[in-house]
Amino acid sequence: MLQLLVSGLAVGSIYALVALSYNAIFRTSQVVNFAQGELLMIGGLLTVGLYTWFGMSIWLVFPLGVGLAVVVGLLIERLAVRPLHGKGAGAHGWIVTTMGTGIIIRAAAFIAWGSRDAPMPKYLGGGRVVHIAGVAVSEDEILVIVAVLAILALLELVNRYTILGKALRATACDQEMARLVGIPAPRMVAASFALGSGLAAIGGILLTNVAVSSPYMGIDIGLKGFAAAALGGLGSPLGGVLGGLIIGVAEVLGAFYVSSAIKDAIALVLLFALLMLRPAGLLGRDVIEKV
Amino acid sequence: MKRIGIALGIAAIVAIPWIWSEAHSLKLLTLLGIYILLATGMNIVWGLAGQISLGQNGLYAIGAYASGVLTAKLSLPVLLAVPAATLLGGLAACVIAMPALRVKGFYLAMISLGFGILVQTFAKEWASVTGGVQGLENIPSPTLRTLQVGGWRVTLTAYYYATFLLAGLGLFVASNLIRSYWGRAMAAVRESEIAAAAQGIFVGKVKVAAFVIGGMYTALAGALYAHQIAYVSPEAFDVDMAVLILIMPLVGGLGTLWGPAVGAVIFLALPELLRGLWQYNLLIYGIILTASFTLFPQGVIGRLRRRGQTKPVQAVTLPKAEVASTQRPMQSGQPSLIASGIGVRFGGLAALDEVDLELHPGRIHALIGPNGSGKSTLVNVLSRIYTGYQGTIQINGASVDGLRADQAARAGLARTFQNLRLFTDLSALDNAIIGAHPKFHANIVACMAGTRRAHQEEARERATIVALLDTFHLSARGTMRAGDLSYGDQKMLELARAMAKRPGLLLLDEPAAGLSGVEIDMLRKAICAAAADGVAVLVIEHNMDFVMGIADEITVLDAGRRISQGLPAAVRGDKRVIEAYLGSTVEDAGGEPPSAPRTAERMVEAPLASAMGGESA
Repeated sequence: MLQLLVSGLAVGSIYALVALSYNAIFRTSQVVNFAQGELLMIGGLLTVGLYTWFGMSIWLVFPLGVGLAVVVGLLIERLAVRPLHGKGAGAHGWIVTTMGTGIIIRAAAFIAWGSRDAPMPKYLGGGRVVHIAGVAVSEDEILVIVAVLAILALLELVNRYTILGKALRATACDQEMARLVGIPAPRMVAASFALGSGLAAIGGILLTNVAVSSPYMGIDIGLKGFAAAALGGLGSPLGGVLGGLIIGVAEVLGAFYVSSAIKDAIALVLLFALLMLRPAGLLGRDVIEKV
Repeated sequence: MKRIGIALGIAAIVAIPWIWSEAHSLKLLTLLGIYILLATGMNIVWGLAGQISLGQNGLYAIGAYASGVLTAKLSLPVLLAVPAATLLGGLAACVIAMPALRVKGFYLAMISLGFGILVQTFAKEWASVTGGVQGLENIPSPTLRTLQVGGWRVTLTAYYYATFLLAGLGLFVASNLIRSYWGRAMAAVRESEIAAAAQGIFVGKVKVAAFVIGGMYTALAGALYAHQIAYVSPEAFDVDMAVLILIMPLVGGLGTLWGPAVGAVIFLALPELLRGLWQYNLLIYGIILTASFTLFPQGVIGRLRRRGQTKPVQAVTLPKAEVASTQRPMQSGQPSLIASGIGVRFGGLAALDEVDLELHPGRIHALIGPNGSGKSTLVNVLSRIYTGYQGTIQINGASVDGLRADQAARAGLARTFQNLRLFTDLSALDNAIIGAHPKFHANIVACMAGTRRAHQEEARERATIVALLDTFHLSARGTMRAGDLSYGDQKMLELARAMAKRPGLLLLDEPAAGLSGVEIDMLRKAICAAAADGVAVLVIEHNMDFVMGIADEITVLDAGRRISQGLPAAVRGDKRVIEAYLGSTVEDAGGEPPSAPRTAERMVEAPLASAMGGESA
């Protein structure tokens, strides 16, 4: 049981990271990036690619992979989000355009890698298993959990105690007002896309280290990461992490006690139940629409 | 012109099998009919009702698998299996519609995306029924020469005709729906849910209806697909299929009748041109979606129509009818509305505190007070838009505390909004007709079938509304997009939309704000005429000239409390009212009560008053 819990937490940590990346963008721009899963996919695959094609050192490959994903994220903001600002295209506008960029990324990945699963080098080492209090934990799992907690802590510190964090939060409240007090709101939105893409790429790197990866993986992980973010309350970093961990544990338990076939359905069922019962999410607050 | 076009189209469809008789082209053309159904279904959900669904691939799969399993495994006749599959698709669409009742936009998009993936997973895992990843084989089909209807073997040509017959039927039904009051209600929900509810439209019901109808189109297409190719497997229904279904009406023209069909032609041809290079096909989808809202927000059909619209808009040429009088029996002194002890809190702020209000038939009641005093909040509570409040509300003696906003509207309550909430993309005439929504009674099936009764009802109400628009001097601009009207016309249109319900209660939130002198005169006449007809009117207004000129009674709010109520003359002299508007400094400045309404009007703009509230004027 405890064993299941640990592997659930490790799986959930990846979802949590994706949830954090959704939140990083949503908090500032009020946009849910429908290409988020594809960003994770391309970040992970590019890193694997650089590593296997050029045999670069991992210390070079990681920043490069993350950096490339950040560039892609900035392109998404520039091509799919900024042109719609003030165009009255409404919410559907950016749903469709960000999804479009996601499809472009996926198609490009298919063209570059084919639709086969990519070979996965264990570049982070991590084959070994450590025993803690009678529970066997692999190094991979420890790495993932620690990495996500560290990122959460770092994000919260930046958000609360730096001027950048305050500017991002101000932009989140009201873009026009933020501009009036001298915050370059469009640049803040771009920054949030850069941050969100970077986080997604880190998720991709961590995921390619532990699981089979292919250009297909973006859809699934993107959906589960969104479910995690929505479960915790969209816009709440802590909530996103909580949501991710809940989904991860629920999946592992469901696969073990019921059937592995239903594993992928669990995140969706949880999301569905949440939207029926408490649309604002576990840690989210209801918003009263002013009339 | 249009008739000729349709006749030519039908002739082409009938003639094609004689020109291209080889199996490949017949199959391809049959697929076109299937795509038209898919695109039209999506158009009803998204283009018409504004609900974005990325899970139509799931409904497509359900239709295909249902009809396939019923015929191949249970040996049901195809004439039974296809309708059953269609109904099942409608039923399954309710599952996607359910979250749409509580959340909107991106949540709906995500969860429907998940729904599609879930259906695909089911098809893979439930191998005993669906054949799993191997797929379901030996579905009766003209390709295998195994499809029989009543002992007669269906050929590819016959199947092609049958598919186009159904696609044509689908377009006919969609055309009836779009032009019926149900279609207008869907468009209203798309434009503004709050304004739609205020017109008596049950938003949830309309959304479910759109999803169910769209789901049936999609599942029917799925069933036709299964019988065409004799074999279905899960990968035919992946996310890329959802994207295809989405992109067809988007590129063709969302919300138009023929746009989805145009999109179907384009996206049937595209993979043929890029034969075998499906990755590049996907790449093109991505580029089109990314560029869609920047490059062609109205789609192909919308583009063409825009160009056609540069000619000056013509006046509506519909038969004028008698202005329907709003005569209603004057209830013997019974108030139309009684609100007592109304309290509303936003967080720690008491927006309203123990406010009482009575409105009487044929009387005009003005609600005044500084910005932020809770006037609009009170109107939102009375019209059931804010549901969290203390106290009780009765309309015509019946409690409305448990009702939704649309039910309150059906009980005779009409309102306008402080910040205009017109359906800006619809014509002025459509806006006003949507206001008469509670007057329509034809059921949705009659509307889709285009029965004579539904048409008669439509013509009758339309004539009444044209006459109503005439009294607001708007009928000449009836075909104009509401958002393109001048500000004054927009305000008048919102009033006309409220009056279209022939309400017993009329709540007006700052109707005179921003109007010219002439328009204010027209407004005054309209309000007085309504009152003379027995309507109980509540007016929020800062223009004191206007208020003092028409009000029978005035209630003054300040910081959520009722500080004065009575006849205009009495309220004008009330010390507490003067204090609320000017602050207590008025005493120090000599304590001269404002004798003329003009002073009062100016007082509203006093810095003190504006400092009191954050409400937008």
